[in-house]
Amino acid sequence: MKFKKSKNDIVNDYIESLEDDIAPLFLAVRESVLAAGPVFNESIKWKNCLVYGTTKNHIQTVVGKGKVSLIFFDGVSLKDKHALLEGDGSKARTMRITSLDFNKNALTDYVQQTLKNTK
Amino acid sequence: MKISFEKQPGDASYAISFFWKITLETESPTVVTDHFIPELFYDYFFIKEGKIKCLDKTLKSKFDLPQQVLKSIHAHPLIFVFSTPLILYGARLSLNFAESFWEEMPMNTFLNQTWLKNNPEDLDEFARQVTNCLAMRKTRKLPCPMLSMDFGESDWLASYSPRHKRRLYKTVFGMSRKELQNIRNVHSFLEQTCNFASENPRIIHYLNPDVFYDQPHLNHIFKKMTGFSPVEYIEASSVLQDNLMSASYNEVSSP
Repeated sequence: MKFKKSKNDIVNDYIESLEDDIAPLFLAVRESVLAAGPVFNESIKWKNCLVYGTTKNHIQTVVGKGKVSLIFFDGVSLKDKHALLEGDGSKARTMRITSLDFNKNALTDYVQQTLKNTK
Repeated sequence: MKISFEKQPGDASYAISFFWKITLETESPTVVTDHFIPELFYDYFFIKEGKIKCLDKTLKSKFDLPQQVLKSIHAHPLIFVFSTPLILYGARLSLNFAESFWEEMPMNTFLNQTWLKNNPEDLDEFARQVTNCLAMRKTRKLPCPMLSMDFGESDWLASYSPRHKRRLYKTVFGMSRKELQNIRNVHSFLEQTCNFASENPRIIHYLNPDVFYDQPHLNHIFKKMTGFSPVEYIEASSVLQDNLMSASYNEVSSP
């Protein structure tokens, strides 16, 4: 599988272990997140959740059957003009991505807002 | 801050799960806080560059880690404060390492050790020096392992009295079987694939009823062990702890 290697060996191991049917979608999402937030460090939290963080974790990626969910830990603070965030919890909001033609602008906007809100 | 984490397979014959190296780089010197929760592993650290301060709120102590140190199993959380730039090497040792360790292994301590003769240039060299040291100094404390792969007690212990077994656990691991089991219980919850997004199953759906009676029981044990609630824990960034834990969960498990 070809992908931009992470500086974290565990992240690379994790990506290589992804099933073929979900890997392209996962990699597309990862590429968009890292393009929008190049300052993010990637790590694996718990057993198999990829998280993007700076001094704190901000976004978690969870791979499900045929979908990749991005959980914004402080999603409640995001302005959701694209109406793609789900959830009614007190803090987290989720963006579910099921196909390669997902809304990259929306994802970029959410990631950039996340970074802006942490400053 | 730029973080890189390298990993290399260990050697099961010396109870080494894996070797690792973490590098933290920042534009200007700064401090980074890492939360360490109890795990059933011993960790050997070699600080090549930078400083690590350890805050132990339970024992109310605060100290700088020496350049080479072995962390025994802790039954409470710790906070590490890294001064950047940091280059830290480590070896993660499985529970059965305690059975071949040549000194006493008290719980909740950092043991001054000198396993490396030279300052390693890379992870390969670090691994080689650690392996050589363990090969030379390894000493069997008991004729057979106490624990099986699935954390069960080995058959040969069956003939001993509970009191004698308690002594054996204390002598070898520095803690009781119950204390070891409590740590294992928290990790039996953490090593699942948990997805706490809204509209997804809640924490209660991940509870193993053989381990936790209900969610308050989990929350109580979890907080005591980690200092966080489960949801607070996933949000907290622990650069080193997260990587070590994930690497451990994804290794072939050994006792």
